[in-house]
Amino acid sequence: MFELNLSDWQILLVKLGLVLAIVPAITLVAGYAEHKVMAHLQHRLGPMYPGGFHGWATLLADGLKFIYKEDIIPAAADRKVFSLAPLAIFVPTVLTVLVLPLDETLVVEELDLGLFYLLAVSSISTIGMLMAGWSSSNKYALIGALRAAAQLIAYELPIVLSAAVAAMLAGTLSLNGIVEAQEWPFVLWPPGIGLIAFLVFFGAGVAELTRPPFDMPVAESEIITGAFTEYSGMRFIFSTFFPEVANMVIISGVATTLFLGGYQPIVPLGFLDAVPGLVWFTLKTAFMVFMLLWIRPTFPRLREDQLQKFAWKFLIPTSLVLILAAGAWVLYAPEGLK
Amino acid sequence: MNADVVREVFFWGVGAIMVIAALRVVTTQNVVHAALYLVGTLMGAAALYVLLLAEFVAWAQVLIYVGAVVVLMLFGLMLTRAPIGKANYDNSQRPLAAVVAAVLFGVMSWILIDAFSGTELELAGENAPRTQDIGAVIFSSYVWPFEIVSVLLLAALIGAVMIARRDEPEADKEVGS
Amino acid sequence: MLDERKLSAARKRTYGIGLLKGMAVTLKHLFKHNTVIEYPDEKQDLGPRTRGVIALKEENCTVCMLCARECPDWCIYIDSHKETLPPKREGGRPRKRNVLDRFAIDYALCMYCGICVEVCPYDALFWSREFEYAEYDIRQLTHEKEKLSDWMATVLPPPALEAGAEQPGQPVAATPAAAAPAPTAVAPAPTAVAPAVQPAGATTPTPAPSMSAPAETTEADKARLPAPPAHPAPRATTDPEAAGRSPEVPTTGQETVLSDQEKAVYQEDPGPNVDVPAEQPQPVALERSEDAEAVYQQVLKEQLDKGSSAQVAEARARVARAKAERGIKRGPTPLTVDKPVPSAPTKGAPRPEPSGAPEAKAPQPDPGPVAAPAEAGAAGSDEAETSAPAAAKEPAAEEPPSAEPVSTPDPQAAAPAVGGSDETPDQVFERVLQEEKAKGSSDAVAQGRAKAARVKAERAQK
Ligand code: SF4
Ligand code: SF4
Repeated sequence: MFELNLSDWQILLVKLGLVLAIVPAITLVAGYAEHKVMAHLQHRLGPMYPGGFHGWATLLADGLKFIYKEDIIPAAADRKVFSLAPLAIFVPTVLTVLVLPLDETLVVEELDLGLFYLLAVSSISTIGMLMAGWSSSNKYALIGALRAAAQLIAYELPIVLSAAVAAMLAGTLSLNGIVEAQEWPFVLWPPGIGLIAFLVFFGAGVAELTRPPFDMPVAESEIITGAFTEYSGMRFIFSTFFPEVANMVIISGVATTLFLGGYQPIVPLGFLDAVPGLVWFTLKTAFMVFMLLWIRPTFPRLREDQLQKFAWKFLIPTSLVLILAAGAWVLYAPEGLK
Repeated sequence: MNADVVREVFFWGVGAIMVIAALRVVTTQNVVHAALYLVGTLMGAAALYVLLLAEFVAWAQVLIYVGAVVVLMLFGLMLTRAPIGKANYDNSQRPLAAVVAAVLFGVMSWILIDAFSGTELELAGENAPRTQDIGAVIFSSYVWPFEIVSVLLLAALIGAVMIARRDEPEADKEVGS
Repeated sequence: MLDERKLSAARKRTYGIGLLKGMAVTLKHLFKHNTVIEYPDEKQDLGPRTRGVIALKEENCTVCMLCARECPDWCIYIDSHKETLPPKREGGRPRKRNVLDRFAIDYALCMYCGICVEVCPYDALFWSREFEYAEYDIRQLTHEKEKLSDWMATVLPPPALEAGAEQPGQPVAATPAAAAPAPTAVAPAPTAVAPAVQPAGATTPTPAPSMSAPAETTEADKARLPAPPAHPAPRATTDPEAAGRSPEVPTTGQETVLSDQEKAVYQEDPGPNVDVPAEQPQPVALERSEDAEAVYQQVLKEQLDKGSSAQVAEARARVARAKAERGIKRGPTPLTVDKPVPSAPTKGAPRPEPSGAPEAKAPQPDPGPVAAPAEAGAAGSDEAETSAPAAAKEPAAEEPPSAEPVSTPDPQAAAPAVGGSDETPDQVFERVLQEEKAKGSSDAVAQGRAKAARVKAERAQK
């Protein structure tokens, strides 16, 4: 397992390069989808001009604009922390992609503890938020960072617990193993437990993304852009836009992997096996992304206390009960049903 | 390049980073910086665990210490007092603290060396530690410590809730979510 | 609190169905045809009353400064100077008037409240629908009068009145017999005035059919149009020359003293809701002895026949009854009005475009200026100044007061009635007090006006 040789390193470098190229590309596509889908859900058109055809180049133009923008660091800011914060948010985001199994063999690093790694790494970005908010020397930023931290801590629990349900049912922490262990009809089996765990994971995931209706950390009408109020230019992209959209795709991918059967065909029909797993994975992830995009323009923002109540009084107890139920199922369900 | 050499380089590199970060934790004048250096130290520890193939402990370290404990520390600091820039929270007990830390360091090093020096860990092959084994051990030989820690944490949790709870009648009037 | 609790309990009972409903709504919109107007490519047909940009009709502006003063943002800049015109005829008094040098609106400050347009008594400001005048330089957002005048081309004609709306009052032509104590201009067509003022059916549930018929009204209006130009007052009663006032002395003060007389003139067109001075023939509605209840029933019936909804009909009927009651109670007693209310005639009237030819003044007095002296007087402006013609092009086209010098041989007809040297200030005081009291002004008002008159008379003596 740890027999490193030169070619291993080379492979790893190539893989990393691919990830660094593909993740931004996917982020652009998802960001464009976000613009357009949200617009149409709200009876608008969204961007129509950049690039000519339905504004396909909007995000490229945006990115170009941000590159040209001045990188402002407030005079009173803590410069070092301020400049490092986007990195602390951005890097964990990219790192989470490494373990997602896009296909049976199409995974950057197949880890024994893939799920655990994923949850651990994604929790680092909270520190980035706090760093950004505190170092900006701005009250809005600080309040935004505190809100973000409180929210991420609160929703980390239901995410971990509901993911644990999936791991318990599969009997492994390896993401590939979890995918393999799932059988049709993925999320609906075992009855109730899977679906509820999925919903808990999904709800907590929306909150973890700090997307509406759980976007108090960046509630623009109250605290401008929260922790990122003082950021501009590329730092802004790397601290808000990029992680938000990329995380949206990643959470969708994780939900797909844990509950929707990952790269397995949607229905177990023989001829569908010919379709590569990547297609199924992409389709399912796209569906999940659409769900997230659908929620965003539909619901108004919650209040901070409602948000915390939702996590602590509803999601966490629910997921604890789910863990009990999943354990009972694994131990006592008749062999034929499993 | 030999895998062992790579491992050695990593070990010493990570070790140096950890030591520097740990020193900065205690010498920096800014509490938030101290907490952030602590993150560096803890991440270094996690990296060392990975080098020792203790993946589970490594991710647990990241998830719990970096993702939760330090976040809570930062959270608390920022909620209370975390001025940007230099703020001297030193007091006259610094030398005493140094002595205590030195003694602690000596004792722990001595115990660790005494207990494990010369032990060869098999990192690959049949006897390599697996996550499953950790689980099995926790719930068999170490089930009592595990349970005791659980109860302790539960007690702490309830205690915290009791302390934080306001028994004002207005609290009930809030509109439900 | 309690309600909120109930509400949240009710919310809980639905188990998130509401969330699904919300999601269904947005999903529906995903598949609906989009009605977005892609602005630079397509343009919306904006409503006729869109507040796009303010256009200035320079000829109409008399530099009264009302707009600049009322503007909440103080973003209207006006500069002007006075010009002395040679007397119109031999031996006459030279006239002074204001010439607009600069009129600018800073659209970077303007908040499009429309107060300036509302307040302009001379119909010099209009809303235009144009809104695409963004600039790269904020200074260019200050539109000078040339640019503001250019916008005039984009101003829409005033919209047609709704069916059944009150007919706006017409400019009142004072009787040529200016010296008559009571303005009798309305006398020739008293019945026509009343319906013009009252909404059909509301206060005129009378058997007189001509009164509620709009067609008749129009005819009557037409009949009145060629009336001679307005002549503000029988001011000839005082000899202005005898007052010995130099033309340079502003004729301030006359607005106080003359106001009643002026009022009499400007109330000749009573406008809606303005009661008619006693001297005038009473509108029929007030003379009828029909009892209020009958009025109520009749109006109700009329309204219902007309197809008004029950509520509207009832409301109108009630109004009619109330008016009838009041009318009966007061009977033919003189009804005085303290303030001249230049309501309808100033605005909204389909105003004939000033033809620019001076001869046009007689047949087509502009409705706007009719109320001007009253307003200007209220604002304390110099009467002679404000009523001066706005632009040299159309010296008198729209200004009935300024028509004075033409129609009256005496150019100083506007001189104050109190200015006569034969009256001491104290006498003036007494006289004005009496007049005001006779008019029914309150004590305080009467005192105030009398005092003002005295002060002015004193000043005039010096
Ligand atoms: S519309 Fe503009 S210019 Fe006119 S009063 Fe209002 S703020 Fe002033
Ligand atoms: S006439 Fe109208 S536009 Fe001219 S100054 Fe007076 S209010 Fe303003």
